Amino acid sequence: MNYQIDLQNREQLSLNSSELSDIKELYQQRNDSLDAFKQASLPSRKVEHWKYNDMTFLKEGEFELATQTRPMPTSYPAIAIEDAIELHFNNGVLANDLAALDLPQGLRIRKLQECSADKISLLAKMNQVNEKNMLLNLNQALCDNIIVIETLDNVQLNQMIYIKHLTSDLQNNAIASSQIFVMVGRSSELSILEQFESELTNAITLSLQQSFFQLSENSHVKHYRLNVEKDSAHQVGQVKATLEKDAVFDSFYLGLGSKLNRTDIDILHQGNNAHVELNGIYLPANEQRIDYHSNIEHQVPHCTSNEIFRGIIADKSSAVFNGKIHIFKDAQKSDAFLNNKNLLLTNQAEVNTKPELEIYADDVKCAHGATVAQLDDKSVYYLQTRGINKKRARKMLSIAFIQELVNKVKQDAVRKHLVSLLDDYMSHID
Amino acid sequence: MLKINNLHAKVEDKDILKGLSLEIKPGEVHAIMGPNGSGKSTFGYVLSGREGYEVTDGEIEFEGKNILELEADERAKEGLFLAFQYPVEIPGVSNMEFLKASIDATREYQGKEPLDAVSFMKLAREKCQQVNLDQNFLKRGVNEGFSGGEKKRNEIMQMMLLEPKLCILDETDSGLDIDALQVVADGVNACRDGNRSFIVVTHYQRLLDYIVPDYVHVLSNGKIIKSGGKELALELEEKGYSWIDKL
Ligand SMILES: Nc1ncnc2c1ncn2[C@@H]1O[C@H](COP(=O)(O)OP(=O)(O)O)[C@@H](O)[C@H]1O
Ligand SMILES: [Mg+2]
Repeated sequence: MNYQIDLQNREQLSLNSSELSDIKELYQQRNDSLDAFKQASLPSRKVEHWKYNDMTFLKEGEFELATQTRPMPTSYPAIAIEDAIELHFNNGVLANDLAALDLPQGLRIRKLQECSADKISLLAKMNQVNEKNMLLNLNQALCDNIIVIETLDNVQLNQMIYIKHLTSDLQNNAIASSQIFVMVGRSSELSILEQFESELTNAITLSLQQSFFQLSENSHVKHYRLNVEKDSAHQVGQVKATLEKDAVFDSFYLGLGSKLNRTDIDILHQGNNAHVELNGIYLPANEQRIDYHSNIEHQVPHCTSNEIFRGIIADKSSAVFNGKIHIFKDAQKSDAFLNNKNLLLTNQAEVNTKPELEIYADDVKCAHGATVAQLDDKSVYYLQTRGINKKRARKMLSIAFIQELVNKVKQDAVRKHLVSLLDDYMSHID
Repeated sequence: MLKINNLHAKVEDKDILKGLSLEIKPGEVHAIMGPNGSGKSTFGYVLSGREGYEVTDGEIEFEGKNILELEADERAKEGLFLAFQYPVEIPGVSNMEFLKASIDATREYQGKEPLDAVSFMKLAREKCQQVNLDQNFLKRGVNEGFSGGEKKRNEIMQMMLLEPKLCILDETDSGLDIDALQVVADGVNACRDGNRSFIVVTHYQRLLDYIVPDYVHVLSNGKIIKSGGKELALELEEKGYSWIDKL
């Protein structure tokens, strides 16, 4: 069933057009999200949290939710991960036959419709109205493609879950919409890689995707979110994780390509001694825009967070990094580190970086910093005097700038994949 | 090998070289001495083709070729090597990766077969040993956290690897203790083969006890104001740089 979303006449939208609108545990949240979506201003340069993004394409008005599921060709390097459990979303719609998946003990993957009421209620909580990103509210109100991935307690999954999101062959003004909800049992371990791909097209398309993680006590999740869309794609997404006591969320981001990529990362420390590791690289080129908004909430005492993002901004592209650390009043002994460094390769490249600290507890350790720089002429010259031409020298120095983050990817197959994506990128920039 | 005639150069609108002339034949070692600020480093930068160092007059001919239009990397591949007074640190680029890229580019330009990884490693280790650098340096970032002496030895190591025709050593002796000085000088002397030429830039006579020059030139205010044999260095040392003001 297709339905129209007229962004200029939002008041006409109703939940009735959604397949999942009958689920009563979800209804209230979806309704609230829809109301919020209707009331908020459309993203534009005048709206806080969007002011650096060109969202004029939304003025087109009528969008249609994509419902295609047929498999589509893709020209991307496949990731050679042995034994991975693969899920494919094509234009937001799951293409796998879930019943046919051969899953290890302790792991379950289902559509939301098939989950029990209490699971659905948990997901509803994740779908809380979003204050700063109204497009996520749209996704929360109308998304029909919600997949729930859950492990039992004490499950150590060796196989990686590899989720490929592909947008391709879409009509003009189409929206792809999906959510995944990952629930990790106590003392369980899971690794998951999401890669977003698209085909180059003249059509205006928007992909809305949210990934929710709920980490139970002492669970460990390794997560990669790689955006490698082509220049025509608009992607607005979110990663949101809640961490219980002793949980560890290790989450890595790559922003490469796409006309516009806005990713919100929300981490909620809800149990003592939880730890999050956020690392990311963004590499806009041409006229691309990449925007990461992260928000780490230390809601309880004794939690730690470590966040490092590096950006290389080429050509006439631009990037936004907004990293917020919010330490609640009772969250004593919090330890938070945030660092963002940017390298501008041209005079037209732009970056807006804004680390934000909101600290309401008094006994905490907090460090943050952000820098913007250009390639060091002296270093380029030094390499040149050793016979290395300027282009190559600039490339070597650019790679050096992000090497520390590449080295943080400990899984060999993923790092190799990352290195090959970076090599390909580096061969295209000046 | 090198013919410089009436070289004028400026940086950021400041004239620094003001009519420098010099001729160097294959196998010769020329020392350039001069007080701080006389333009010694600038001379090395101009020769090697650093951006922002603008030649406003005069010619530089290297091996019969006008090199003024060549980029710094092309001059290097033609066989010109500058050992820096202050080598830069480049964290994130390993010495090994750097040396391999450098050797590959140079050999390709010179029409030589590329070195395979094994031969390269063998060669790099051998050169490390010659300048008394531990092999672990190959894995570290270029000059990253190296001591002053280690940086200088790293420069000499690169020189040995690239086998240039003309080497400019910019105050390679500064900040070195006697032992390190000996290592560096041995490295340089090992490279002297009768064809390779050297310009040894130094503030002090001391280095010239180890690397014996054929000629000594005194640079002052962007010009060579006096040339002579190696005894000129001793005379300078004895009388001090204030002496040349009276020349
Ligand atoms: N980038 C620059 N801009 C302006 N003046 C410079 C610059 N670099 C060097 N100079 C000046 O040029 C003169 C020569 O410097 P330099 O070549 O470093 O001398 P030396 O190596 O003999 O000590 C000095 O007066 C110095 O201040
Ligand atoms: Mg100097």
